[in-house]
Amino acid sequence: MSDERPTSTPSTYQRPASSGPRPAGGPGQRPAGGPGGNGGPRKRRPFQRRKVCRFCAEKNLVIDYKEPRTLRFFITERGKIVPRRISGNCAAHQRHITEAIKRARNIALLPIAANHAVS
Amino acid sequence: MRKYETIFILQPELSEDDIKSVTAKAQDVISTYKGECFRMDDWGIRKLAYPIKKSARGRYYYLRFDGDSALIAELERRLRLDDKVLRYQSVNITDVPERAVPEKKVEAPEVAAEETAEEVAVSEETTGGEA
Repeated sequence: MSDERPTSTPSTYQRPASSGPRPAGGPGQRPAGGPGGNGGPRKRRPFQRRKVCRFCAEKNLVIDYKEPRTLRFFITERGKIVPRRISGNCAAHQRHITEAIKRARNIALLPIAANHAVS
Repeated sequence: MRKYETIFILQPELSEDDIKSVTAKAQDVISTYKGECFRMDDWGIRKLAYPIKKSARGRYYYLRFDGDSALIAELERRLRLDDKVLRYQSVNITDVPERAVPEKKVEAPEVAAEETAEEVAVSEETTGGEA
């Protein structure tokens, strides 16, 4: 009893401490211990991120839950919705996309998860 | 009056009469509640992204109409009670700008000839069980 308590309390204390810097450090820059090492803070990502929202760039693209083909760009292979930081959508269009994907899932135009056992 | 669109999925192995009864019922609800039906499209039998009620494919119907809240409540109640309807979804599109809907969805030829015999057998089983 007395032995367990001191061991359990540091572990609970460590968890928020260890998980805290990770999301803060992930999207930010990694100055020293990155994969490049000597690359320094200048090159953070291996590829150029597309910054322009696809739907803002092309006005005639319409988000419609009835068209699963356009929505397929914004789900992963497992059927998850691609986050905004990867897809590059603006906030408003990401909201529309999310709404459309959820509607399409409801009427079985898009999968909810990757492998459904088809009987 | 609000604008609505409803998509409902029927069992794939229904007979013509069964399909007619469902669509006629939907039209009937719309007319009794003084709504206005604009289109009633059959998208054909499509493969479902995931099985619904053990069925891997379903017949999609697209319904575009105007009506009040009482209409949509009654229509959804009818669809819910109907065993032939696998799934339905109604969306209020009053605020969505109207755009040209393609006449008919390009549907992939999903139904293979050898599967129809199997599906007929299944339908006979289900109707026998229900009766």
